[in-house]
Amino acid sequence: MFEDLLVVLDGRATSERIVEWIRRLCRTSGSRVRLLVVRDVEGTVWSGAHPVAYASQLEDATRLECLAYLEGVAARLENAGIRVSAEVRFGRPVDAVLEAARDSEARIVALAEPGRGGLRDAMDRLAHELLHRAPIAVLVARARDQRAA
Amino acid sequence: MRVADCSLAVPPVLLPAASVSAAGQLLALHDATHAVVVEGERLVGIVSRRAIMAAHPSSATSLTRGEIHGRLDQITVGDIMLPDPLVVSPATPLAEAVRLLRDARASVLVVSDREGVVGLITANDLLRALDQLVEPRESASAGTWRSTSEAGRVPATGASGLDRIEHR
Amino acid sequence: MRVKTLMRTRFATVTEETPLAETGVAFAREQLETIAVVRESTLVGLLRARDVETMGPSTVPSLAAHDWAWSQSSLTVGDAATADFAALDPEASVHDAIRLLVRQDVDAVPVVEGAALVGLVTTRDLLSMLLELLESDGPSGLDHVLVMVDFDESTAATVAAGAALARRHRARLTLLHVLPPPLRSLLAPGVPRGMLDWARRQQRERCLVDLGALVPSESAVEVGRLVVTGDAATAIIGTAARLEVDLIVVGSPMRRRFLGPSLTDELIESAPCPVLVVRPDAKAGISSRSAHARR
Repeated sequence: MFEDLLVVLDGRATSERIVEWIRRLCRTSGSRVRLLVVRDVEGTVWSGAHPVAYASQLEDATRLECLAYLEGVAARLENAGIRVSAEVRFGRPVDAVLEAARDSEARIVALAEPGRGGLRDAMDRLAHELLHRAPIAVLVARARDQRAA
Repeated sequence: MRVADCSLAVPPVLLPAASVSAAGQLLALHDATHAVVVEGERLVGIVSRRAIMAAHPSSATSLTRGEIHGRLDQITVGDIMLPDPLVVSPATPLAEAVRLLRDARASVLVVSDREGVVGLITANDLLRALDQLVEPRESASAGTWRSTSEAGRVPATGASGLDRIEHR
Repeated sequence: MRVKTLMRTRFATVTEETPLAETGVAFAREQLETIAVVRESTLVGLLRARDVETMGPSTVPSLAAHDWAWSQSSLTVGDAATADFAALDPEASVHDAIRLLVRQDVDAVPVVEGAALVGLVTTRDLLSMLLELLESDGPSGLDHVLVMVDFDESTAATVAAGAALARRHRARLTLLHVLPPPLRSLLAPGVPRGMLDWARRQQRERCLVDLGALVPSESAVEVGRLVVTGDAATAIIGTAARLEVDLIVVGSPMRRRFLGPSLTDELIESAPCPVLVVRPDAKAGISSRSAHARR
């Protein structure tokens, strides 16, 4: 199960908290980690009746930006001897994640849940849906508010 | 190493409705730089001495001193607090806390367990941890190193076994 | 380690004549809250972002409205900078640097040779150094894995996952079963207390035996067994915290409370460590498949 993992990130430092756990979990086992960022489908930008930027161009730009970000994260894992690949997908987060899992050999999806309660955060919703829907194992690290005394 | 390995002070607690003036006094009383803001059992924010100072108007203000104090009594902690602070638990690996403070560029992390807030971590707390981790003396012997005013190589005079040291 | 190795040698500075209003850009670009003030290459002061903020207009809109004259004021760095600070010698140690950073409550301390500014030691760089130290000696792997056992269709997969992890990391494995609190009110009145206690003890013993049967002794894993009575979420979280486990493994679907959040949600909400939710099917692990085949 731990030979192949899918790790979902969204660029925030809080979501990156899963990376340290992955490092610990995978360090000894020659695992392979796939980093995934899911973004909304870009729409064509219009100025009046003229398209100013096409969806595909925007998607390409976003993809490059996300891949650059993931490269930085990948380096941290590679330093620990873990094989890493990176991917950007567009669409509804839970669908994209499940698709990515299906397309790969990944048996675990891992993410950090900021958990502000009430599912307002996209990562919270993703974690919730994966926990209840995903056919593969889900690893959730918490990055969440606690109750104050 | 975990967050719990750092000794942390329990921060003073304020309600969102507390006035900025009261907050300033509370912080001064506790000699603290930050206080946590709670609503019932929920942690809702952090208020810092810096935010309190920044709420004061400039020297160019058209308000009188009396008016300034009056206003500051009206402005609440809820108006100036940082909402949604980053939270870690005492069991969180220290490296994670370091990374959060450094990369998320927060000034403070709240340390909380299931019972509630147990402390705050600031960058200075982490520097103190670093102080403990680094060897107190160089492993090189106490040879004298001559510095130069420009980058260059300086030969060692101590018996450390190192040939050269390079300046940046 | 000496300051001259730690310090930055390329960084922005400002002069005393720089207008205060322009300093925001310098702070933002350097991502620092402290900037050195120089006269040619001589260090003459230190400008702190918080002092600029304090001197500047209020951050509160209702007060800032009265600060409209601020933009016309011609305050410069010289009016806000402080000369009351200590700088470091390039030969000073990292301990000296830390002491100054903490004592002066700044995020950067200048390094001087004579009166000339030659470097800057920053908190950020020291935090990076701390990170390297921690991560190189950091916990490699897990030390203790807690598996929640419900004796249902998820048990085989969760135990297999927990055991595989524990084996790989040479970690301790604890199997935990939670017995619901006794519903005394449902029992016929008049049942002696002693009988209830005896029945409960029998149940506990039974569970411990069943837990023991889950991991074959030749699996080279140090296994502990725990039976706890009480509310499931509280029991798991409490045990995880008490034993300082690094990972909780649970099966899915978890028992759903009548109207509240599911056990999984509660666990994720309050667990002191990450939670791994395992599926009771083929994709969850090779050993679970063989366990199913055995059944």
